[in-house]
Amino acid sequence: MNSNLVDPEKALLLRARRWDKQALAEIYDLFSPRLFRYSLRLLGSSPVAEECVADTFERFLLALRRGGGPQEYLQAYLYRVAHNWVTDYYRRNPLPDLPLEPNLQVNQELDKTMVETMQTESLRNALAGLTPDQRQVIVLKYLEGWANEQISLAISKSIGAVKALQHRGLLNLQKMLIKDQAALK
Amino acid sequence: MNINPEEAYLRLRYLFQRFRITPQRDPEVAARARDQFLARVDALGPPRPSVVGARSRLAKALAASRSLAWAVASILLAVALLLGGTGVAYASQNALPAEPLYPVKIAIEDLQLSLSSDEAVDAYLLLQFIQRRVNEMTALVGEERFEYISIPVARYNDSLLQLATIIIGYLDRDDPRAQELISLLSEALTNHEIVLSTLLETVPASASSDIELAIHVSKEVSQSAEIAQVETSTTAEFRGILDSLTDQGAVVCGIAFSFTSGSDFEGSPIPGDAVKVEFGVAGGRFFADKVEREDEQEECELRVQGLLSARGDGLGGTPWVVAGIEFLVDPTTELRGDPQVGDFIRVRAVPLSDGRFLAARIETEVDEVPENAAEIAEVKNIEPDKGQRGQTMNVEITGESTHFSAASVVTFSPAEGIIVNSIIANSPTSLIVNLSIASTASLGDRQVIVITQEEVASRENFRIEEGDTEDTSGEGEEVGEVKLIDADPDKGQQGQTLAIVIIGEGTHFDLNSHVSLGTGITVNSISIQSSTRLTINVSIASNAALGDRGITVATGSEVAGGKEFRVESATTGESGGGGVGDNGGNDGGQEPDAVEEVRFTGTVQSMSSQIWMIGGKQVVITPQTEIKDNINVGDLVEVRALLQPDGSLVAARIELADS
Repeated sequence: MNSNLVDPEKALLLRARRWDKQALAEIYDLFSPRLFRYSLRLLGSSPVAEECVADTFERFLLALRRGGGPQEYLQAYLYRVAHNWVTDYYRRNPLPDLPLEPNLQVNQELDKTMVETMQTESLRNALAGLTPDQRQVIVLKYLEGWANEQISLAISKSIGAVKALQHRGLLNLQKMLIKDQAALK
Repeated sequence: MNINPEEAYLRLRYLFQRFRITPQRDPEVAARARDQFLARVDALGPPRPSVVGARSRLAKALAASRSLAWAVASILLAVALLLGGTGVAYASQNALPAEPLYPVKIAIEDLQLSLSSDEAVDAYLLLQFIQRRVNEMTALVGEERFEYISIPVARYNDSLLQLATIIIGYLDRDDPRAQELISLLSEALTNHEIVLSTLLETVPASASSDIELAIHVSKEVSQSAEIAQVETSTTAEFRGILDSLTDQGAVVCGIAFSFTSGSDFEGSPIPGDAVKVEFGVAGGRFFADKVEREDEQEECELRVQGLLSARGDGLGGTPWVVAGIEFLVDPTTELRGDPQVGDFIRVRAVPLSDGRFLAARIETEVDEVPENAAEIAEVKNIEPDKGQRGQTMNVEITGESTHFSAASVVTFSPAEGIIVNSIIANSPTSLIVNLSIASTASLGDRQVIVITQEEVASRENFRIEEGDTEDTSGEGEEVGEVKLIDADPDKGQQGQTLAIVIIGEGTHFDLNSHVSLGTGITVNSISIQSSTRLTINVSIASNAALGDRGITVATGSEVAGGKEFRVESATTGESGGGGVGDNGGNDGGQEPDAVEEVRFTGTVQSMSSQIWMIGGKQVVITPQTEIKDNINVGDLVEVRALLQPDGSLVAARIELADS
């Protein structure tokens, strides 16, 4: 392994700071699909997820132009911005409380797809019910497949804090899902 | 049906797996979004230069001259150490490059820096030193000694680098002293750029590159200081609803805040959000340091704390000022305490429709002082508090909670046009300062700053005014009688070596003063205590003509006379022969005015080139003082000194007590 190789992400960022349009396009192409998936999982709506992605890159450009923005960790920075956007969205557009219909009785006639859709929606709502930090850790860890070190950089917290958030996040999710399941049953 | 946690966890894992599957992104929408992004890249254009970049440029520009400057400094220090002795120290103050005493001057400066244990003191010293370097460049140009200009230029650049390093350190540590230093530095550099630009028009091509380098460095530092001032001047916060947000700035409750490259954002605020803006003031504009979204809705409110720098009326007319922010006070303002200029206060104010602020509440924090004012040493008075261009004068500085000593450093801000000739510490709260005001000095107020060890006292201003006499001749000389009014002793014997104190009236003694007592009397050294007082050491030839002779002191075109000195025969015994001031030891007689020798032991409390404080006594150091050991502050020493008729102690010999 050649240790002299420049980290491609950093090299890309360096070019972006010089307002190299090609580099900025590469960044967009690299991260836009990931950010879309990330936001779509949390938001549940393609148009809103697109809006989140567009705003995330807009803020990235403005930060670069002011000489700010990420110094080293581009991915962590972009996910943090998107996370803030989602948090804002949740704040302004509260999702309905679980269960969706308190009196709804899920019976055997509901087809599997419908059940799975509702389960997915349940999880999304449960995630929305977590604290922003817990949600970010859970999503990055279990949905995006990030390592704790990467999450640590993204949320600017220690690895210990990441583990603690992960633990508390999972517990809270379990409690919410147990409650949800009980209601569905 | 109950679901146990283990089952819930497994279910969770399953849901996560399902949740990872997301619908395909619409390729058309994605392509459109990409196009929009790239169009935005074009529309925004390239970034503005960042502060990081500015600092980096500064460091590079200064680093280029650093090695040369340090090489020069090392050589000069070595020469100074070789020369040794504190007697020459004072005489070196006006030395120019290539003159014998210049290395001593530089070595003393380096020594002052090395003795200081506080960066703040270093910074103030460096501010003085860069002013000296500019003065030296000016003097060298005046004397057409262009070949030596590179020496003060190198030192100038180096001192600026050191100063910038200290300030950047403060910035990194969010130390509030950075703000004050940047302000002082900016003022100094503004003056330097004017002076250096003038010099550039005068010097030949061979020297212009040196001056250009100094200008370049000065501008780089100045520019960075300006940016940094904005960055560090966060002193206030404003809460309210975010009206609008662009890449240039934000408007909150009608108050506009500009962004800098260091502006930070937290919580992704968008218009309509309740936000808190931490900001600073520069050039009357508000610069956001941080914009943070707040969960709770707040009334539009300004909160600022700091020293009250101007106190307007209480009727909403003239504004009060804290941290550069103006606000009105009217009868609706809740005043807690009776805040006066210089007091540390907390202000809560609301914005008015015209963009001004009206204070809702002002609290005087009697017990709370800013972090950088842990020592509340202050200059309480300066008398007289004004001087005229071209004047050399004594002023008395009175401090409160100060520890003035002979080692105190007195400076003015801005320093341009004022030279501190000498300092006499009367007490920990009283200093007599002899200063000269250049005929070209800028008019107006200067802040008086007294630095004693780690104590920095300031507050009062000294005003420079036009001269009383109308200078229609263009010569700018003061009109007034110049004469000598005392010489003590006023007689000596053939073959004797002795010290004579000469007092003038209307004089402007300086290190270029030339003292003459006629043929047969050799002036060995001269020490200037003030513009009207000097001490000379003379040797009277054994065959010097007996009788009275006139004393003249020439300083530039000024010639002062009017006192006489009598040479007596060593054999007549009329006055008892040579006194204790006799350095030659060729007779053992008594001096008529009974200069008494005293010996005492004490701890060295402070050391300057001219005066040491030892065991609570102020001891004058002259070129004749024999300093036996390597003595430092805190050492216990034995002193042999001569008690002068005026009560002062002139050290003859100082050595370590246990040596």
